[in-house]
Amino acid sequence: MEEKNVLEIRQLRTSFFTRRGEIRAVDDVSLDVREGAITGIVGESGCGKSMTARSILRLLKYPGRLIGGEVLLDGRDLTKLTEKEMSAVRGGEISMIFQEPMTSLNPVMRVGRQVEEALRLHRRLSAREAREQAVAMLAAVGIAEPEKRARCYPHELSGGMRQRVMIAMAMICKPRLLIADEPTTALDVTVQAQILRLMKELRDNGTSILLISHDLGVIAQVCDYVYVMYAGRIVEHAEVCELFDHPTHPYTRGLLGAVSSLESGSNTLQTIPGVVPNLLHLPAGCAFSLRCGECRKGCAEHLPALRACAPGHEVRCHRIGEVNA
Amino acid sequence: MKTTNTVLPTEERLASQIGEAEGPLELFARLAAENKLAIISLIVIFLFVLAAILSPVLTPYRFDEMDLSQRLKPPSAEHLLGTDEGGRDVLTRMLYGSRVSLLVGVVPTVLSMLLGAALGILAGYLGGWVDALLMRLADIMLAFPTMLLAMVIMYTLGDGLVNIFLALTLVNWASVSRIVRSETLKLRESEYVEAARSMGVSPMRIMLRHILPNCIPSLIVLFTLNIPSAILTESSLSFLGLGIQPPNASWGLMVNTGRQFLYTAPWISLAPSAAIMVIVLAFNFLGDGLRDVLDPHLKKS
Repeated sequence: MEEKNVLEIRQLRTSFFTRRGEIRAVDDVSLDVREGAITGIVGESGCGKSMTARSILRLLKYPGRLIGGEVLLDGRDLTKLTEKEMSAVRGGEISMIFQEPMTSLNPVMRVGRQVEEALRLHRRLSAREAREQAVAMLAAVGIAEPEKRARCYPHELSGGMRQRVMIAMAMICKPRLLIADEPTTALDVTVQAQILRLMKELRDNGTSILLISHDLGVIAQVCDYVYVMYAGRIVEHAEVCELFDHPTHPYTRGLLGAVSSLESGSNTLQTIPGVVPNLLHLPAGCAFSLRCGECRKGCAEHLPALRACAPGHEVRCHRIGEVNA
Repeated sequence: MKTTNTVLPTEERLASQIGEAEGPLELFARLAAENKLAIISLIVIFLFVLAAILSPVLTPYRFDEMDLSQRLKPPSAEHLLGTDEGGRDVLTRMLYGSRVSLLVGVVPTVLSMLLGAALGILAGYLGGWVDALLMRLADIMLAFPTMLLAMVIMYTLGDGLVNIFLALTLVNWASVSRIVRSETLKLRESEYVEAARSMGVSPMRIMLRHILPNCIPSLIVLFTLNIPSAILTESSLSFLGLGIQPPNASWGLMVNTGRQFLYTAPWISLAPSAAIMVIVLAFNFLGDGLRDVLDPHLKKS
């Protein structure tokens, strides 16, 4: 493949050590973020997508700990950096935007200053240059009257504008990688569409993006490549068209089946039976076997490996041979 | 990069209707509109401050000017609030006493706020053994009755204004640090601190730029509510003879000396008592008003 990867995650493991046992929030996750593309991670709440993102930036909270694997940013292993070197990476080379635009901005700091903050930390700039760049960045993310808005406090801006400010904050140092953790979940649909359009613009201007969402619609709209996570593991990954045209893992098929469609003609919404399993008591084998309609003998006992079922399309299921046949 | 301004007409219009940020003046206007009592209190406090500063100009007497021919005179044209047992003008002594009261109200409160806020933020943000150490220390301070602790400190250090400052600072920092710590614990988990961390902002800078400014509303309220308690503590200490010593003037001291003449010359005690009451109430009302106005939950969101 000639495409370059900005970020390569190899066998990443993150666990929470609680009184009741070890919770494997991220279990043996390997993924690549291609340069100049949007890579998506999709899955239900609690499947480990946000923890994967936090592990990349090493922003885990106690009792969470990164216990293995590599996070390679342009070949440099972030897990081996000192905390000080990591501070230079955060915001400088990788930045992150969060789910809640309403609470992710400091309420007593003017938004212009917040956008400048990363710039002042990572680039040695005069106050005036920093201000100018911040205003230019606000304009670039589609905020009208950026000089005026820069002097506003967060409570004076709407949700969509705040998310734009968050994106401006994240993009101000021109990072190699932007991690967007559910960037549109808290926004209403029209604003969501605008933010997604902005993310696509950023990609077209060369930014690599790792987009985390539980919303298949969002993934389908903007992503180039998709990873599906379940119970801390990647169960399927493929190019976006391939994944939506040929979903192979029973879980992926279940997810797609659960999206209501106007064309299907069916009035009842399909669901995946059961609930997300307790991460403390996972079966030894396939974690989805508890809910899988096609579960066979041995599924719950032996962990399937990720195997290719088509070029660039890998699935973690014992039955891929049979399903495709 | 192409801008997408055109797709956002409603959003932008709404935002411009909300208008500019709220400055101190707007805050003051809102306080005036919502709470008349707080504004009256503010004016009262301002008058006291003015009287304290201008006391040499406002009165023809000196605070320690004795005139034994004029002992225990009731209020009259020469002595508006009468004279005490040494023939000193009560109003003059009250004016000079207000300097002590205001200084004792403000200086140790500021010191204990600075100390308490710094230790509270460190304890709350860093957690672990720093938190355990600082908070056990605070618990020990809080375990003593305030007045008793202040008396012990004054007894050990000896009297004098500077020692009163020290005693009140030592007595008050613990409760401030407790409040700031709990605020910090809440803010530490907030998304914007998280976001700041994800931008590579250092812990020191997060504490100073992100956590401290968000504690300020609570600190302002705490400030206005701690001042009257400091004034009261000083009055009590001086009343008990552990604070300001004669011939210097302090309201607490005046109440104490007037005690013996309560039946024959009640003005000696009553005038400073009234002053203590008025200034303490004024600060309390102002504190309440500010708390209502500064409460972030009541702010437009």
